[in-house]
Parts: sequence; structure tokens; C-alpha cells
Amino acid sequence: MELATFLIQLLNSVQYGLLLFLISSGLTLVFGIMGIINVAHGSFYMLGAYLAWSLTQSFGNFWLALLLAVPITVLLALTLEWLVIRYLYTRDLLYQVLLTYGLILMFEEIRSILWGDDVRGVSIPAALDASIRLTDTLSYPVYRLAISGLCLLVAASMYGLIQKTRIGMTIRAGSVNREMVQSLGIDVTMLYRLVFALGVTLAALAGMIAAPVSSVFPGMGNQVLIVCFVVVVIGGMGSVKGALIASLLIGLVDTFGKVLHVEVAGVHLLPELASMSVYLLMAAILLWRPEGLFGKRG
Amino acid sequence: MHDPAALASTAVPLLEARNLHAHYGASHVLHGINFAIRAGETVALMGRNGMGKSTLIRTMLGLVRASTGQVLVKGQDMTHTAPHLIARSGIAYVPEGRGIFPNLTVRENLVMAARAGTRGQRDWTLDRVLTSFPRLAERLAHGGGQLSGGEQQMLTIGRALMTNPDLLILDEATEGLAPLISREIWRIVASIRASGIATVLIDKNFAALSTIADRVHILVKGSTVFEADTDQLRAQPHIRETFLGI
Repeated sequence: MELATFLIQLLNSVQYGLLLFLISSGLTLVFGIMGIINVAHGSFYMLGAYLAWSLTQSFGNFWLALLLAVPITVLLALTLEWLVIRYLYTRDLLYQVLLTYGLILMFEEIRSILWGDDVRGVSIPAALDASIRLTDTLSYPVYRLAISGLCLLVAASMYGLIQKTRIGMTIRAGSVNREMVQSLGIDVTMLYRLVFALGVTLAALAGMIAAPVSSVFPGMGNQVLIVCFVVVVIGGMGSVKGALIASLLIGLVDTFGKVLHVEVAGVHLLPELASMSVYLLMAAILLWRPEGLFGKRG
Repeated sequence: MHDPAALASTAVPLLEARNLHAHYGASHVLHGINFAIRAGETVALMGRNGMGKSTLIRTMLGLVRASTGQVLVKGQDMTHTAPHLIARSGIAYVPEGRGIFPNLTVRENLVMAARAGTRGQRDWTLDRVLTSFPRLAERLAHGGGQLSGGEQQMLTIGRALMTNPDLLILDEATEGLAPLISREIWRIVASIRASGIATVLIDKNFAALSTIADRVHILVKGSTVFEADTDQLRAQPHIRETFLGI
């Protein structure tokens, strides 16, 4: 492989990995702190993408669409937590999966009613619609770099929020001993509502910024959800740091799995096998560390 | 100076249980308990294991649901109020098993709890807690889980004080600690008492409790069997033998 091609694929894998992190960090936070498995998490990714498309259509400006879509998502998340999610805190996994699976069906139906079943596209905002030339024939789109930059910014802010602020301390404390946090006079219900809204908003934000590079289509949330669960399992349930490492790993394995043509003992491995690479990675890591890279043992 | 006991008897209790009942599933664990502690008082809650001491505390704090009866905080009915609101009425709790956050540093364990008291008082700051517990000052950056049992106990007491409470509840504060460390904890409890914070102490060590508690409340199978001044219990060793086995 040429160096320029390699570099492009590397940038692609990092961008894909960081985008995955944006989505899966919310999934792992909601699980790690609130103990909720939210299988509807991917739907918020889809919702973000459709909101970006629809609002860009209405206002003719991607940035304005983003500015409006984020608060809409936050409001939706807060409402949803209050309406249904809070009843799951004391119930077991089966209820959580059933209810959030029901949410997927509802979201798909609402999406169909509001926006139809067609594949949509969002054009890249003019300010970032450029390419950086690498060689005579190869170049790299600026927008993809911007996605990576934004994801890194979000990752850094999350690190700051969780590690350096008092809310972050309470969030971490709540993940190990909810009752003790309450006994110190902290409103855990409010804390949970906040964490849920944060997780949902991150997933929706990922959908919004991904919309210009990947098309906007029905079921896009479920596709990404499966990969995100792989990320969460590899990184360790509840670990944001684990989610970052696992996302980047998956970005690499998935991207290079598709472009490398591997020959093993003279047998050419089919590209179809490449799509298994992510799951093979998961299987290998789970054999080595069943609790995931940064998961809690036991 | 007023006689604190006389003052206490007239004041509205900081925390009060009236005919309190509680269940764990089908088993009836609290049978109509009346309990009260007033400002500045130190009350020892005693009884053998499984007699309902911790349950009484946890029910008053809203962590266990009261079946019937009332919990009053400063005269206000807070029977089915959320635990964090009860805590915010000026009650700090050091649970059995301590409940430190092992994934937070010592500093974070303390800082996360910091808040002004119900009268806006900020008597207990990080600096004052660290002065009172010099061992913690040496381990600020350590994870809570890396501390020894005695240090963890100091951390939970320090963390409780960071909320600037009017009432501090200590459940088995010296359980499983070496005698030397226990003595240090008792010394700290005495200084907290002297600072005017009311305390409820659950412990099995009557000798230590009797030097510090104004009153003793003994539970047997979820009912009150004895409630009097500490001196009266000291004068009646047969009661200690019957109900506490000491």
C-alpha cells in the first residue's frame, strides 16, 4: 500500500473511531452510572441525522440546523427520561431491553411519518467543503478532519467534566454507591436525568455531524448500535476511557479490514470476511479479558 | 450557661420517629418505635445484632420505606420524603461499612460532599477536616479504596462533616478497627460532640459510649426495651446483661 493511501485510510479509521466514541460513550455512561441498557441509543443517532437533514432543508444552513437540533434533542431526552426511563431504574434487564426496544419501533415509525422512508443526503457545509491535496491523485476532505476535531473536543470536555468537576465526582460516586450519594444530600434522580440527556445528546450530535459524509437512511441507528455495543463490551461496560480505546481499535480494524487483501496460506480471504473482523476482535479480547479492557472485574 | 439537658427537653427534636414500623418483605422489623434526638444531644443506640438499629436509622433517613408511623425532622413530617432532602435538612450519615467511594480520591470524596449547613454555616471546610484528620491530609491524592480501615472511617466522618450537619449519625464507627484506631475515632467523636453537633451513635462498646452519650436507647427485636440517661444504665448492670449481653 502506498504511503498516501495508508495515511488516508488511517485518517478515515481515526475519524470513524472517534465518531463511534461519541455515540458509544453515551451508551456506556448510561449503563455504567444508571445501570440501564438502552438499545434505543442508536435511534438517537438516526434522529440527529434526520434532524440535521430536515432543519438544513428548512433553513438552508447546516450550522443553524445544528444549533437548533441540539436543544431539541436535550429536551426530548429529558422528557423521555421523565416519561419512561426513570421507571426502569429498579427493574431488571429484561424490562429495560423490552421497553427501549419498543422505543426503537416507535422512533422508526415516527421517522417514517415525519420524514418518509427515502434515503436523504446532507451537503457538506460550504466553509468546510474543501480538500487537502496529499499527492497528484489523492486528497483528503477537510470536513472529515473537522469531524475528528470536534469529536476530540467533545472527548476532552467529557474528560474534564467527569474527572475535574463536582458533578463529575458525583456521577462517578453514583456509579458505585447510589444510596451513599443520596445520603450526602445529592439528588440522584436529577443526576440520572442529566446523564441520560448527556448520553442521548452525544449520540444525536454524532448523527448530525456524520450526516454530510454518510447518507441519512431508515435503520441507520440500528446498524451503528450493534457496533457501539461491541465498543462498550470491548472497552468494559461503563468505562468511558475503555470506550475511547475500543472505538479507535474498531475504527482501525474495520477500515483496514476492508482495504487490506489478506492472503493466508495461498488462500485469498474474501472481503466478506473483513466485515467479521470487528467481531473477531471482540471475541479475541473477551477471551483474554472477559470484563473488557477497562471493565470492573467480577 | 443553661443546663443543656433542660434545654434539650424543651426543644423540638432534630430527628424524631413516632410509632415507626418497617418491613423487609414479609418480615416486620420495626415495631412502633419512638425515638428522638435534640440539638446538642448525644444518644447511643444499642442492641445486639439484627435487633433493628440500622433499620431504624435507615428508615428515619428515608432509605427504607416506613410502613406506618412518622419521621419528623425539626418538627416537619418527612416520612416519605426523598433521602437527599432529609440529608439536606442537616443530617449526615456514616453508614455501617463506611460507604466511601473507592473510585474517587480522598480529596474528591471530601469535596463532592461540601455544602453549607441549614443555617448557612460553613464551620467545616476542607482545611478544617484535614486539620482534624491529619492522616487524610497525607493521602489526599490516594484512591479511597487504598486507605486502611481506620483511615476510611476518618474519611467518611470527614466527608459527613463537610455537609456541615446539625446531626451526625454514626453506625458502627469502630467496628473491626484496632483498639488504638478505635480510641482515635472516639476522641474525634468527642470533639465533634463538643463542637455542638448532635450525634446518634450505634455501637456495642458500652464503656466507650458511656463516657460520651447523654442517653441510651436499647432495641430488642425492633422494639424499644430501655430508654434512659446513661448514668441509669451504668447503675443497672442487669439490664446491660439482659439486653446487650455485656
